Amino acid sequence: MSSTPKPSPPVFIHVDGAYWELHHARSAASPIVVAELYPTGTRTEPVEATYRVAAPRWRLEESLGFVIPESMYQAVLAAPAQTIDAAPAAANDFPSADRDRWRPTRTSPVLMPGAGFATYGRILHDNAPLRTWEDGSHRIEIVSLTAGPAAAQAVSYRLWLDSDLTAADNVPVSQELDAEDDELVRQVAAHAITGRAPSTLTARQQSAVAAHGKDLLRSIALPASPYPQGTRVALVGKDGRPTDITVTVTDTITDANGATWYAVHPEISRIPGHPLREHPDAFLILSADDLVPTLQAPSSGIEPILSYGSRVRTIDHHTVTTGTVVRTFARADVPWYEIQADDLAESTVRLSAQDIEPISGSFWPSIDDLVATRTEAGIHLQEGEVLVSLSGFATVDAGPQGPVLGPERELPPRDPVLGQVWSHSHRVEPSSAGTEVEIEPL
Amino acid sequence: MGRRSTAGFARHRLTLPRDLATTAHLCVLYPGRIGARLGVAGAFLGGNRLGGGGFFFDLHEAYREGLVQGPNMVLCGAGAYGKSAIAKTLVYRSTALTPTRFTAVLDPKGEWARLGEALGWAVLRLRHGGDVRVNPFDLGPARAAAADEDLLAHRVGVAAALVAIATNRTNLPAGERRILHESLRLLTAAGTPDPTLPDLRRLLAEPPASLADDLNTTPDELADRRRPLLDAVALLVEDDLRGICDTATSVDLDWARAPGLIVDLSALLSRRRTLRLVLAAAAGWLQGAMYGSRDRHKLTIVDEAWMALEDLAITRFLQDQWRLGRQWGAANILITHALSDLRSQVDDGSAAAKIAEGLLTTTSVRVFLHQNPEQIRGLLADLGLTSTEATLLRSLQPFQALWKVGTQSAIVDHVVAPWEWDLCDTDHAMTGS
Ligand SMILES: Nc1ncnc2c1ncn2[C@@H]1O[C@H](COP(=O)(O)OP(=O)(O)OP(=O)(O)O)[C@@H](O)[C@H]1O
Ligand SMILES: [Mg+2]
Repeated sequence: MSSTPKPSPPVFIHVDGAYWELHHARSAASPIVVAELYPTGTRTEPVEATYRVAAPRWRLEESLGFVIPESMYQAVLAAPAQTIDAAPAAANDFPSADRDRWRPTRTSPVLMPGAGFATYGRILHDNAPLRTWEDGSHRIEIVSLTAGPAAAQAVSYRLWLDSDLTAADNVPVSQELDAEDDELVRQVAAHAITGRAPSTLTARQQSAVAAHGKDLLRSIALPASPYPQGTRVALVGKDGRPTDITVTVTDTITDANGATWYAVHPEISRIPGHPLREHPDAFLILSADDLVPTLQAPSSGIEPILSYGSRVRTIDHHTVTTGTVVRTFARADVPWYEIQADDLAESTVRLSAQDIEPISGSFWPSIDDLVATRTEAGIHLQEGEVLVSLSGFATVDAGPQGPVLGPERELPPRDPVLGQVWSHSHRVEPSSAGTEVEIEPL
Repeated sequence: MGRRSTAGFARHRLTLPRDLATTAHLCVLYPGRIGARLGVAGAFLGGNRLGGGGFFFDLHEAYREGLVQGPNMVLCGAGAYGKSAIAKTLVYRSTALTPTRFTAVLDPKGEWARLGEALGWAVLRLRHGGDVRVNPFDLGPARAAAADEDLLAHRVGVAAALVAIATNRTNLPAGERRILHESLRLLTAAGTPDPTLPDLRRLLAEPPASLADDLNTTPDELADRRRPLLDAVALLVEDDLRGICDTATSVDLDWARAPGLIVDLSALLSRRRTLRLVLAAAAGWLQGAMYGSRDRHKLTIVDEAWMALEDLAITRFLQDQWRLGRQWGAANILITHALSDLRSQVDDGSAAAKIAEGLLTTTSVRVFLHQNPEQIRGLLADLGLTSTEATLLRSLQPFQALWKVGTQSAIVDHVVAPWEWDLCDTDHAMTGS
């Protein structure tokens, strides 16, 4: 009457209308992961897998079109291995309509016995790559850098072309590179686009590379000096290394001595509250020695406590993916945010800081500026709120006539334009149209 | 109360009586069910101890699939074993799967607000002197959608339940019910689209001659007969429901789109009778606004439902609502502590006790958490559990539950992820923002 239950798979990912089971299979070379897709339903008879792939980790990700985060992979490896009949085919393509249809989303429940329940979004968040480079729909993740034998090191990476996970691999790279080096991103891209034998690529991968490869390589290529207009550069710190302050080149100036200077516009000026937000023509003039081209993400003004106007992404919220912070509350030491979803049809939600990832911050020169902007937008003070500006913060308390703003407490001084103190002195020039930009010195 | 880790649903966590300890024994308990992925369509709730893998559930889905006869569910068990937290995870994790569903929670302890805020739902805090008013006769969009006679019957049902609760009766005699019926008909005919309790009170205070005609009686006789009703309604308006249910509804809810609503009744917790009346009024209002609408699935959750179930007039009212609402996709979840406690509250005559139990025994989905030994004997007989199952209930740990879904069973190790505690935590029930 009853059969022995099938051993629970080490990893179980529930997607809409189906679920993935990931198993571990024995193989002579690298470990093999078996992914099986089963339709869901309430029937009680055994169901057949709709789809089955068995491949080493990176080939499996390429085939399925979704990430198997490190902790999930480790859970698979920790499980007893099954013996599989035949070695998997070298390259295997999950039909592309199905890649979209059965790809887990941030909210997909994931079961890993022993590790409990998590969502796919939460696991991705907890296994964030060392570094991400993004440009439109192309994206490179540096997943990990591991020391190899004989002073070698290997990088694991993933590449999305046109928003599709096209390639994932683990390859040796030069010893001296670290995750911050842009050269690492270039080597990884070169490997994915030109370094692999066509025979190791599926038809889908080959056509993605053919369609977008050149485009990708162009956008990460090192620009020749003098840097053309629009080049993204990082400011160099006292130690000669790039800082994470990024600007874009708007003009090149050669002085009487033949030295090169650049007019640059800070990328942080895109965020709400920044004094140059409405002045795209304003610029700083910096010596070429203080700048290097960069592939790092634009300066985003993210602070430990986000304020009105900051942009966030939820980790695994069911209805809100990205949104804007409207209010900040302090509850038991953890900030909570009232968030207006980008899908304006959604109502605002209140989420704890641990349920969101900041995308970019805000840049309110003073609490007064912040209050004025909010009031204009019809956002009035509420008891329990925390208001944060560049120079200080204040809480909103209950008063006899309603909420009142408490006294402002100072924060460490900031640069009024860059948001971070930079070791070299600099000042803002008025925009070419002659608009005066008034910035209070700190 | 200590924190415990809820991570993991490994097999060793269920401490069963010795004779239930192995999967082999569970096979005997549930022949043929091993490996069944019961209810895999729906929200993930935890580990399925019998079938292996995850346990997934959705009430509407189970009904649609024909697994259960009605989309109704009761979650019962001893205090602090996780009933509310399980319901919250069910609601939270379902939102993406059921984007068009409307969920309403009647929340006597005020512990659902954070979840509501995280989901962008309206949170209505009902209290005397507050700024939220709910008219139990308000029919919202249903006015245009349903037949007049049905809507009148609904309003009469709400009015009769309120009067019965207020006067400590199980049921109104036909005579009184008929007066309410004709009065509400008259009010509506007089062009008051959504009459209020004060409107009803005024009408009963000075009944027009036509009302006596409608009731085939004389004005003098009517003046006598309406007296108890007038007193009851006046008391409702001036005391229990004052400042809560005594004007037109003040909440502007988009019934076609709003994802959900928390009705926080915690301010009334110390006034049990008022709380019950407001609960019935709010349930009536919700049902009225959704009356007959088939466009969306509806789910109404009553936490601490024993407060309602200990009053037979409300129980009967809820039972009627369940029966009716089924046709237009209204599902219900009642969360209550152990059933035998309920039994002791309703022992004013066996007929009465049977109604409350009837509601529970006819509920298609029954989820049992830990039950205390003295509660188990009663369950055995009344709820059709086997004696092995009844014994099992005594040894369930917090967050472990026996699910009876129609004819199928599952033992589920419910999981609440660490970050979900922000939304489920009942140790820090939150009021105000
Ligand atoms: N952050 C947390 N981590 C782990 N456990 C928690 C946490 N917060 C609360 N708990 C526990 O979870 C349980 C909450 O259970 P819940 O409120 O759902 O119980 P209940 O069965 O609804 O009880 P009642 O009948 O009193 O309403 C309590 O035992 C509580 O101590
Ligand atoms: Mg509870």
